[in-house]
Amino acid sequence: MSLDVAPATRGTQRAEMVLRAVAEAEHRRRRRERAGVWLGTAGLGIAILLFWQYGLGHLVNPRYVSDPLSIGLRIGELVADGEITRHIAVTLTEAGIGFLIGAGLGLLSAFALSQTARGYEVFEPFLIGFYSIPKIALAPLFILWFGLGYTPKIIMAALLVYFIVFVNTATGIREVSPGLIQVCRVFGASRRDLLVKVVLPSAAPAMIASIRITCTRAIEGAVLSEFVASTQGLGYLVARASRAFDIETVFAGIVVIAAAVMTANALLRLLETRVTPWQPARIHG
Amino acid sequence: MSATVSSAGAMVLASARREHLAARRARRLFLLTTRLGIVVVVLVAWELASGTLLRPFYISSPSAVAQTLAEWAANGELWYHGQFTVTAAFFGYLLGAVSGVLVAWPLAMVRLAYRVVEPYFLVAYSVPAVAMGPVFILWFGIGMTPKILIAAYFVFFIVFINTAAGFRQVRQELLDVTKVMGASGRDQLRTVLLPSATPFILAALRITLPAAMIGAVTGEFISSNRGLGFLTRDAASSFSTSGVIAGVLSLSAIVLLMNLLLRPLRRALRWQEEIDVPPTTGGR
Repeated sequence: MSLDVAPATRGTQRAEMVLRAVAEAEHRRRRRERAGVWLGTAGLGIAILLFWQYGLGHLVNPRYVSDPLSIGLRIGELVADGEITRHIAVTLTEAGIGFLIGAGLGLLSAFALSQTARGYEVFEPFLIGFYSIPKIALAPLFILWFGLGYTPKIIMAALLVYFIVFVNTATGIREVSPGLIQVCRVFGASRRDLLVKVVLPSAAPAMIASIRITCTRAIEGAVLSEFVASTQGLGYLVARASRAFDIETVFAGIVVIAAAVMTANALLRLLETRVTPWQPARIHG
Repeated sequence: MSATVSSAGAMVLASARREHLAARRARRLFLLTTRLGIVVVVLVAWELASGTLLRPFYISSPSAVAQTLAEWAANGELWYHGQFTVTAAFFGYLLGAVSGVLVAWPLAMVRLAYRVVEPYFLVAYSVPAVAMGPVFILWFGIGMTPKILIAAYFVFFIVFINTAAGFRQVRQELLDVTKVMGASGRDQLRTVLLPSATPFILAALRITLPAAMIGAVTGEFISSNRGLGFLTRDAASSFSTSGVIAGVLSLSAIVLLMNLLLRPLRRALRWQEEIDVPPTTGGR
């Protein structure tokens, strides 16, 4: 008996070894590929910076394009004399408050309207109409109404956020499978049960994804209104420098704005995968 | 016997159909009247509040806005400024869309190359497009060029990312199978790659047309001496609220019109699940 088993076991062992070797080779290949991609990306970045530093000035007037070192130095100066921290604080405050107001109102009104199918239908064309307004064009109106302070920037940021959150949340709610809702009703779910156990979990990915993409829009809205009229903030810094032909400060401002946007985006993406790990969302906007 | 049954059935069916049609008509009528009612109520309230509750300096009034629009239309200012905005948006759209597809396509076909460059496109995409406005104006002055470029910048990245996604989501098995069956590169492109990428590209083309408009207006807002964005800003700097609202309305009308014109693109895509994006300006 044991003689019969032994060769079979040996065969299985060999097969397992081969499989493991194949898996390891595949794993190694993947790792090499990833390292290659990473190296390529880093190399490309360094090449671009080197070209900008040493080559671009020969092709076009260096006054127009500056160079990475000067821009880095300018960022250092702005950080050292504390000017940029003040501007960053102003812009992020405007964007943050606007974001909270816009996202809060967007979620609330989407849930309120989705409680009545009729209500949504009645208001839909108006929403599309408002959605089509180039919000930038409203900036002068807000400044006329609320002056040069924080308020017009906060309203602009909130407005850019509101519609995206509203549209995505409303779509998310209306796309909840009707089968699920009917089954839960048959089993005696109350309105509240339906909302908490069915509608919220299935609309959550769209809601959260829209909240993530809109943090960028909030910063954009604040910066944009600062372009139009302001006395402080990153948008003001860039607009003033651009009028003074101070290209280093313009780029320094853009780098800081981009860094702020990317940091906010990365933080919220982390939050997104934590809060709704169960399904990916297709987002609009 | 069976004849009477079936004629009775036909009668029931016909009456159900009539009821259904009547219900649908009633619903349409309800929607139409409530929507119209809301518009009328808002306009009347605005007109009455102006001058009584709030100063017309701040909120203007529907009649004043209509008057401004009529004046602009009559003296040709609306068309004069509108033509610059639409031209800048159009060429920016063309430039951004064509270069977006042409850059994304070859890059997406070479998977490793795409992975190498992708982070840079994502970084450039996350730079708020509006922040680039002052740079373009520094580089190209206050004429048409910077507006075209800002519009193109708004369009390029959305088209690029969607086109690349469209080509990259093609199933590898389909490519393998067609290759085994002797398809040439051109055959694969025609029968596998393009059909699967087209919906993505068309969706991107649809959502970016209004975005181009916003880009052009943004450029005009930052600095210009003509265009609807300039007209609106000019009204604001002379504290003419009616002028600002009239400018906003004419811009919105153009964007709405563009969305309407794009409807046929949607219908052209019936064969595949639509890449669903609402009619937007990207919310800007």
